[in-house]
Formats: sequence, C-alpha cells, structure tokens
Amino acid sequence: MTAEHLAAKRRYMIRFLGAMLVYSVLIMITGRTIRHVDPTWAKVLLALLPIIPIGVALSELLRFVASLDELQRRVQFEAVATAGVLTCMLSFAWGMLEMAGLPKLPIVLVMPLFSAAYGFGVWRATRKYQ
Amino acid sequence: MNNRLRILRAERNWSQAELADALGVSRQTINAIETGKYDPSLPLAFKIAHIFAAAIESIFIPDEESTAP
Repeated sequence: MTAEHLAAKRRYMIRFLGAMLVYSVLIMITGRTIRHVDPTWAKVLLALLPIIPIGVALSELLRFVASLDELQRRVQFEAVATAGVLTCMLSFAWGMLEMAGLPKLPIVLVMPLFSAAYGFGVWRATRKYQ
Repeated sequence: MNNRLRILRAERNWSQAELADALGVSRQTINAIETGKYDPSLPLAFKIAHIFAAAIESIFIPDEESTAP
C-alpha cells in the first residue's frame, strides 16, 4: 500500500470511528430522554440528531472509496450491489411474511441489515479477485 | 486476458508490493492482474507498459474468444 493510501485509510478510520462514537453517545441520550421531551417538534429533532454523525460516517466512507485503486473500487461497487439485492429480497420477503402474521420488521433494522449484507458482499467480491 | 506481468516483474526482481507502489495501486490489484482474475483499465495498462518500457500488446495477450470475428 502506498503512503498516500495509508494516509487516506488512517484519515478515514479516525473520522469514521469518531462519527460512530458520537452516534453511540447520541443514540444513548435519545433513547433515555425522548419519552420525557415535549413538544413533538423537540422529540422529532432529538430523534433525528443521531442521523448527523451517520451522515458524516457515510460521507467519509464515500471519500475513502474514491481514494481506492480501480480494483478496490470495483470490489466496493460489487459489495454495494450485493447488499442492495440482499436487503431488497430480505425486506420484501419479510413484508410478505407480515401478511402471514409475522411481527412487523422495525424499519430502523434495515440499515444494520444492509451493513451486514455489505460486509458479506465485500468478502465475496474480495475472494473473487484473489 | 493473459499477460506477461509476472515474467516481466521477475526479470527485474521486483516484488508485487514494489510494483504496486510504483503504479500507485494495491498489491492485491497486481496479484489479480497476474492471475488473470482482473483486466486493468486502459490508463493502468499504459502505466504498466511505461514502467516496463514495453508495448501494451507485448504485455497483455487477449484470449482467442475475445478477438474472434
């Protein structure tokens, strides 16, 4: 790995992990306080607060992907495509199962589902080119 | 697509990591090109040709199926 790539990776890790740390703190605060907050607009703002560090984390991920070489970018693209397909299939299947009486899938679980599918996609695409 | 990258690299006693650094790509990319798992983009192919002071056609050999009319 070139010095430039190492620097880009280090910058990404620091900023991404920093954003995830802020997210963790905000989600704890939101979880503990939202029931006691009034009026509704304040509840809405509090609920949306953790989205800000998530947005920062994802934009750092995009910036990092742009710094990768062509094969690594292809791996990322294939991983996102795999994650998209898996998330669509699984959430659609669950939606159909809800009609059969299964409990509703909380929409907040879609992002973790996509993240897990993305991890699988990176593993799969990396193996393909080894 | 087949290629002579491994041969050319060995002639100069370069490791995959050294060639990767010279080209500004990862070692995994060099390995994938050498094993035929990945065909480089045109700009990268030109960079490779330049670094080995050879013509692209002498380094990368298309498969017979891809050149059939």
